[in-house]
Order: sequence, then structure tokens, then C-alpha cells
Amino acid sequence: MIELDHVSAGYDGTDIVRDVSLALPKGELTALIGPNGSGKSTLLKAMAGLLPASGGILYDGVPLCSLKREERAKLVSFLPQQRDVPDIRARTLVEHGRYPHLGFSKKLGEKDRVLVDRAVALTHTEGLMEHPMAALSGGERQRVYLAMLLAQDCGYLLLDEPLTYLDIGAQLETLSLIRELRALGKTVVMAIHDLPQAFSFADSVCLLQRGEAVCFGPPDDPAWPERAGAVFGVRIAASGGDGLFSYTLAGIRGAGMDGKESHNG
Amino acid sequence: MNTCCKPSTPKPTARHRKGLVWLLAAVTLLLFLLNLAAGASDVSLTDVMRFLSGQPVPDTVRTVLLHIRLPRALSCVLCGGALAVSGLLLQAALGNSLASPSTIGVNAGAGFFALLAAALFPYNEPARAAGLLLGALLVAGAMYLVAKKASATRLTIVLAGVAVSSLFSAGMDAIVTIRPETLLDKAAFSIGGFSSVSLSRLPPALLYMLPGFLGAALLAPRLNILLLGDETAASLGLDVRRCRVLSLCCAAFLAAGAVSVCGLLGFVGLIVPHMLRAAEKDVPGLVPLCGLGGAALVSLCDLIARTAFAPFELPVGILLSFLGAPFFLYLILHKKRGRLS
Repeated sequence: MIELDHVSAGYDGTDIVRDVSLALPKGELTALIGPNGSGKSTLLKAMAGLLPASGGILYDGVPLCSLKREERAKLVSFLPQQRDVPDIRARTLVEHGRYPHLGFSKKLGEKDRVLVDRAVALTHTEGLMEHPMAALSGGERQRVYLAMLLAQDCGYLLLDEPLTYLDIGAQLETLSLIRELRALGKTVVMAIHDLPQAFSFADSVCLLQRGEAVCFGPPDDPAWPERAGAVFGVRIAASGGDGLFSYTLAGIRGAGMDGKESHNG
Repeated sequence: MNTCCKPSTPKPTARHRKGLVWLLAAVTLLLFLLNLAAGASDVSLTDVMRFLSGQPVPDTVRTVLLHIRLPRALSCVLCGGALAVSGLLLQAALGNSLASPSTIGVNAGAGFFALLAAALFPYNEPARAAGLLLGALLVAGAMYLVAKKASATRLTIVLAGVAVSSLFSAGMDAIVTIRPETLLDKAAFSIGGFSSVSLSRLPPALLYMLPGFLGAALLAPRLNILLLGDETAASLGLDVRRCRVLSLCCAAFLAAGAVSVCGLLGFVGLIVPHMLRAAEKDVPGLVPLCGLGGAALVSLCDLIARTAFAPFELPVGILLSFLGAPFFLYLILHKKRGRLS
């Protein structure tokens, strides 16, 4: 269970996320949606302990700020959105997931190798391990990063737009892998741009607007199309059953809707 | 180290890395012995071996080896290793493939403050040593602040390094002009070389180098994590700022130690980590490789500088600049992104 209690966070003293209170149930996949600049990334970074935040952030009742860095890294893992591709082999990257668990000398032990192998098997990346990261496709790279997060062995996974820049096949592949992680008992919070994917894959959806959480609930709530449509400035029609959507533009978005925030994601 | 595979699968990289370490160690040892044997007065390799194993050798040979060649050959190994590892640390900590103690001005800072200390407190060795370290740390700290600015690119840091170097070199000129007795051979100092080394210079230099080498070995696995990017590194529990600051401090210690012996010897810290990174990406693996590679490169250059134009001797810094400056240009022009790769 992740509890956010009046959380505000931002950069250089300017709050991007304002007064967010949420309770995200354990073992669920939560999708964070919202227009550009609505604070999805900022909220995730604050939840990962990478940004100073006011208010309370609690994991299973334990305040995040009371944990040491390495304790925190054993509890919560975070996948940033934009990453330079490091010039290392895929296996080395997955092994780096064990970093918070290693002793002072930072050498891998037998147990670490077993966990790395298991993470690799779960993400179906066995065939990629000896390749340099730069030689992999976007989808393969994302799977290797998820293997690193699995090797980190945290109960909580925070993913910042893990589908960006992937082709549709790789997006669906990554999404189904994320579902498998949830099936392993991981609690996943994921920022995502694609509304149909958010509503069809997540257990609950949280809508952010200008740094505030304006709506939170299960994806099958019939009120979602109207609420989300109003925030994104579109008309959303749910065309039958399983998360099938169509959008039409509801006129040019006003300044109030678009927001003045330039911060990405 | 982080290249392990399942026990059953072969480990080509691990074996290959060990092989490279042994190869470089053998080359360094060979060059060290050649440096003892080569020079104006005739000393045979047999004499060198007898001298090193403590057997009696003729007095003249003993004097030459003990007071001239041994300090020089040891200095080449130590300074080469220190400068190369310092460059490795600077490159990894700043995430900038163009960083090295000479290109970002750490050497110049150490040199200037050492001269300043010598001018203010003549014949006071501790003051000179403190000046060396203070100067190196100041410049490394300044470059950390420059790199922290979000708008700073890798070239910004190098340009800032050029500016800092010019400033300190003007400062050194000023001191030498006003107080010529502080530096007997200014040209030799600013070019960098080993013609005036003595055995007594080595222990104080080691006092700076040993903590630097030790720190490099301890920080190396952490720098591996830093190379994943600040956010990923922080999410894995690394204290990103502390890792960076400590790495820069160790780099400054190593550079200060080297400058105290051989003056402002340039480009070793740039060339060596680059060449070895082609064979090894892992920072813990690179630390011993760079140490040996730097020792081998400087030993080789000094051997050439002493023998190629005998009886004249070229300061080794000139040779290294002939190698290093074109290499630097190549890096600026061809490695556009300048990340460590």
C-alpha cells in the first residue's frame, strides 16, 4: 500500500505537484494519466524519493523519508523516462539491479546471480544478455531495464512512461510484461499517455491535472470518458466493451485547459 | 566485478580482461627495465638485474642506477599510473570523455598553488605540498560546479578548463617573473618531464597517490552505477553527489602527486582511459588497466625522449603533447556526444 498524504513536490522551489492525497492498494497496477506538464513524472520521482517532497509518502505505513538510500532502493524501484543508453552489455545492466543489496565491496554473490538469472528468465531476455545495450531495439532495451528492476527485487515498481518511443508491437509486449510483474505480486505505478492502454490494462487509473489528482478510480467507472475528456480537451466515446475508445477534438483547447506549465510529462 | 555469467558458460570477457592486465604488466616491467638500462653511460641488462636483486655491481653503475635511473624509471611508472587513473575518475565522475587532469586545468591549478606556496614560504616542502593539493582540489571543485549547471555541455567544461589553465599559467609566469628563484627551470616544469627527479621527491608524492589509488578502487563499482545516469543511479540507492565529489577528490590527489614529481605533464589522463575503454567498459576493471597503461605509456615516451636524440634529451611532455593534442582534436571532432563510450 502506498499512501500519499497531501504531497507537494517540484523543482527549484516551484511546486509542480500540489497537495496530492492518494492510497494505492498493494499488488495493483495503477495508471497515472494526464496532459503534458500535469505532474506525472514529478509525482513518480517524489514517490521514488528522488525529489524533495512535502507531505507524507508512506510505503506499507513506513515513511519514505525515514529510510536510508539503500533501504529505499530495496523497497521501491524506479524506471526514469529518458535515459541515455549506457555503453555496457545487457547482463551488466541487469546485474546493476543488485547494487543496493551488495556489501561494501559491491561484488555479486551466488544469491545475487540466481536472482539475476531469474529476472532474466521472467523477462524472456536470455538471448539478449551478451549484446551491448546500444545494439538492442527499443522494446528489447525496455525488457532488459525491467529485468534490472526485477533483479532489484522491490515490491514497488514506479515506471515513468515505459512505452514512449516504442512501436505498437513493442508497447503491447512491454505492457503484457508489466502485467506479468503485477501477477508476481508487485505493486506497479505507471505514467502512461495512451488512454485506451491505460484503461484496458490498469486496475485503477489516476488522472492528474495541473499537478492535482482530480480523479482516481477503477477503469470501468462510466464517468471516466467525460472526466478524462474534459481534462484532455477531447470528446471520448467508449465504443463498446473492452477499453475501445475513439477520440474527437472538442474544439481548440483554451489556455486554462492546456496550462502554462512547460515541464514535460 | 560485474561480468560474471552462469558458471557453466565460458567467460570470454573475464579471461580477456585478465590477459590484458598481465600483458600490460609485462610491458610496463619490460619498459621499466629498459629505462634502467638505457642512457648515456653503459649499463647492461645483466647489471640491472644484479642491482635489482641486491647482488654486487661496480660502484659507478650502482651510483648511476640508484641516483639517476631508478628514481626516474619509478617516477615514470608512478606518475603515468596516477595521471591515467586520475583521468579515468574525472571522465567517469563528470560523464565527460574530454575530461583529464590537464584538459580541465587540475594540473595547472596544482602547479600554480605549488609555486605560490614556494614564493610565500621558500624552502618549505610541506607548504609546497599543501599548495599542490589545494590547487588540484580547487580546480576539481570548480569544474564540478560548472558541470552541475544544467546548460553545461562537455565542451563547456573543456573551455572552462582552457580558461582556468591560461589563468594559472599567467599566474605562474607572474610568480616566476617576480621571484625567479622559486622555480629553477620553468620550461621543464610547465612542459612536464623527469629530467630533475630525485629519490626524495617520491615518498611525499606517494603520500598523495596511494590514497588516490585506494579511493579509485573503492569508488570504481559506484562509478559504474553513476554511468547509468543520475536518476537511475539514485533510484538504485547511490549517493550520486557524494560519489561524484569523492571521485573528484581522488582525481585531485592523484594529479597533485604526479605534478609534484613531473610538472605539468599533459594528455596521459586523456589518452590512456580512452584507448583502454575500447577493450573494457567496466570501471573496476579499468582502474588497474589504466594504472598499468599510464605507467607503460609514460615509460615508453620517456625512453624515447631520452634515447632518440641522444646526447640531447627531449622533455617527455613534448612527446606526449605531440601524441595527445591530435588525439584530443580527434575526440572533439568525432565523438560528438562526448558521453563515455
